[in-house]
Amino acid sequence: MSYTIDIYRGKLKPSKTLKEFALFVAFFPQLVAGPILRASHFLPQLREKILDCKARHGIRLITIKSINLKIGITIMTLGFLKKMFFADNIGVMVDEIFSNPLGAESFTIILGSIAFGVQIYCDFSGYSDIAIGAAKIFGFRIPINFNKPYFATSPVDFWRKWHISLSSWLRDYLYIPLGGNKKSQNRTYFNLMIVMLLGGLWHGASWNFVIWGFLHGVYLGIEKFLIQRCPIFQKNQLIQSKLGKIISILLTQYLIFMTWIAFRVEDFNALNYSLYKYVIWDFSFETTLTVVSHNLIPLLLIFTFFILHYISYKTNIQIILSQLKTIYWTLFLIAVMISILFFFDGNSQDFIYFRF
Amino acid sequence: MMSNFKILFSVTIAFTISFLLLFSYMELYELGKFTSNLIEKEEIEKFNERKNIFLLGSSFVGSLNSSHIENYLKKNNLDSNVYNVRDNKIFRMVEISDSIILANPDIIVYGIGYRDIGYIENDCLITNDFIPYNNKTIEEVLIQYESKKLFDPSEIIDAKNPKFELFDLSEFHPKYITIELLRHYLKGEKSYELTISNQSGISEIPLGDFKSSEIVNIDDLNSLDSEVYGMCYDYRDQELDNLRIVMNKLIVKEPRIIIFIPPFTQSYIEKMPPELRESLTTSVFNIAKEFDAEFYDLSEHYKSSNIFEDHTHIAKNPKSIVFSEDIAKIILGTK
Repeated sequence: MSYTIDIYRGKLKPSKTLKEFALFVAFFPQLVAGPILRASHFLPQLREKILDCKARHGIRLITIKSINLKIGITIMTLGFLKKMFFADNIGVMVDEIFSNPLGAESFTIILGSIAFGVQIYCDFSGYSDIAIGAAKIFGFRIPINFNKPYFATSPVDFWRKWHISLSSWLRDYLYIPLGGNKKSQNRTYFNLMIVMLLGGLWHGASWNFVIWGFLHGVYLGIEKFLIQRCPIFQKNQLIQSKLGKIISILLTQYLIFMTWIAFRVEDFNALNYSLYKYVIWDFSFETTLTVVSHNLIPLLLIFTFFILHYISYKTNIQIILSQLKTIYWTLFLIAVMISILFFFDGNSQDFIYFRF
Repeated sequence: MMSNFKILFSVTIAFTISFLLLFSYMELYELGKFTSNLIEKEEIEKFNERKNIFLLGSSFVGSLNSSHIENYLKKNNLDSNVYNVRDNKIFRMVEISDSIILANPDIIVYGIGYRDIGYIENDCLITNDFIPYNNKTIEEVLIQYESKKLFDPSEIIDAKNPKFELFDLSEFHPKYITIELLRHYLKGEKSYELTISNQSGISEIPLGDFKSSEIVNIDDLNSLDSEVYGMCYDYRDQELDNLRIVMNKLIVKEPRIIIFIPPFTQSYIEKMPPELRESLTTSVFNIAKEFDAEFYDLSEHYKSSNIFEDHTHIAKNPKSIVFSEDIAKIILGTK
């Protein structure tokens, strides 16, 4: 769609050959599930490479540069680590909690939603990393799809960091054409809600995704409202302080993790119950402690994930790792492979986003 | 180009070393060398001191969580190895009871459902005398039955390896080994787990990766007709005789024997003619008395509780753990 629209808008030259278009469509690291690769990103890179090859060799060869190879493999390795080590092993706990959440305590539900939030992030950003790394090896740049979303300080900020290729696609091809925030205030809220509902439906034709999109639409609308009506919030010193930022992150993530319940719990009664328990705490710990004692390993992985997430929030871990000396880089590869192999239970788990 | 080879060589080295370590790890574990240096001696001693408890019966016993029972007993100062040898009809138990005896059972908990007594393999599956097999022809039931592979736990008992029992592993799998070792060092409790993935029934894979079954609302269940297999109670004497044979074998090592009738939903119980139910219960009770076994009738115990997956089976679900706990209490003599 973006190819057709960009050509219509005059932002992109159409492919002159079927081969070029076919190369774009069949570029294997990119799938329908994402990261969503726009023709306006990919075709210029492809054309540049074709020209470069023609000039140097006269034949269409893509040279794999060692710098790209090393960075690509590093990114892919981190992707495999996220998917096979973190997501698949944390999924065990998620399944236990959400296979039948009816009767579960509030803190069990909260624990389950955090676990699922980490699982789905590791699953999809892991896949995105594998795609980005694979493309990088061939010298193609796929824009990043996740940028430490669990450190977002507001719902708007979250959507700048989560599934960036989808959110920017929806912004450019849906929100702005609908009028964005250039029309009346009510129209802006309406546009936000339409975009989030359709964003939810992009994941599948299910009421769960509609509810998920609706919740996000409400969050974005409330944030927009607060910014417009109460600008004092933004200038407040407490909110600007470090403590304020931490509180914003925690509050945002509490809201975001609530939406993951709608994503995960398919049964409507169970979803209703889970959302109620998530919001209205019962302060009961009896079965939560049992769930915790059964899931020490997944909990340890969630804790490790947040530490790594924080480190990557502060530094560019991919670049640091890819710049390691060969011997240390090899040790990094070995460490990741051992973590995956020694925790792999022999059952391959599909990527969650491949369902969408 | 040289640099590319260097990178690819590094990747190859990483793959080789990782897989080499993995296979060595599994090999050493299998040989017992790995564990002997770390934990085996201490654990083997503890293992030998534990009571061997066997949970026997057909699918009714499948929802009993052996690890949870083991943990519960441990908390109450009874160190034990609990094995769930389920999914076996009485006549099959005749074949494997010798193997169970070889495993030196201290306590045997035998769940006998009403269906077990009317069960005859392959013939007379549905010439029922009280409940029709809903919407299925005799042929369909027989095909369904024959395609069902029943596991023979004697194979596992014969192949019993202390290290299996030590860590409750059903196979040498890197993840299981890794997690068990981690758990050992973390001193964590054994995880709650259930047994679908491990059809052996001999203890279970303590990973927390169980596939639980969902609880169906008891009001919904009780408002529906109970869908149960039709049974041939005309042949009940045959299975009761088999039960006597099993009991005769089991008492050789003088274990403590507990026989119980598993729980059913209210709707199921109400569908059974009272005379038939009483007669079946009495038959089992008389055999328990004959062999000096303890007898518990749990058939109505949870009839209105939200813990069933269908009319005759407690769900394999953390919220149904009360069933396992009650069995643990029976073992402890506190129920």
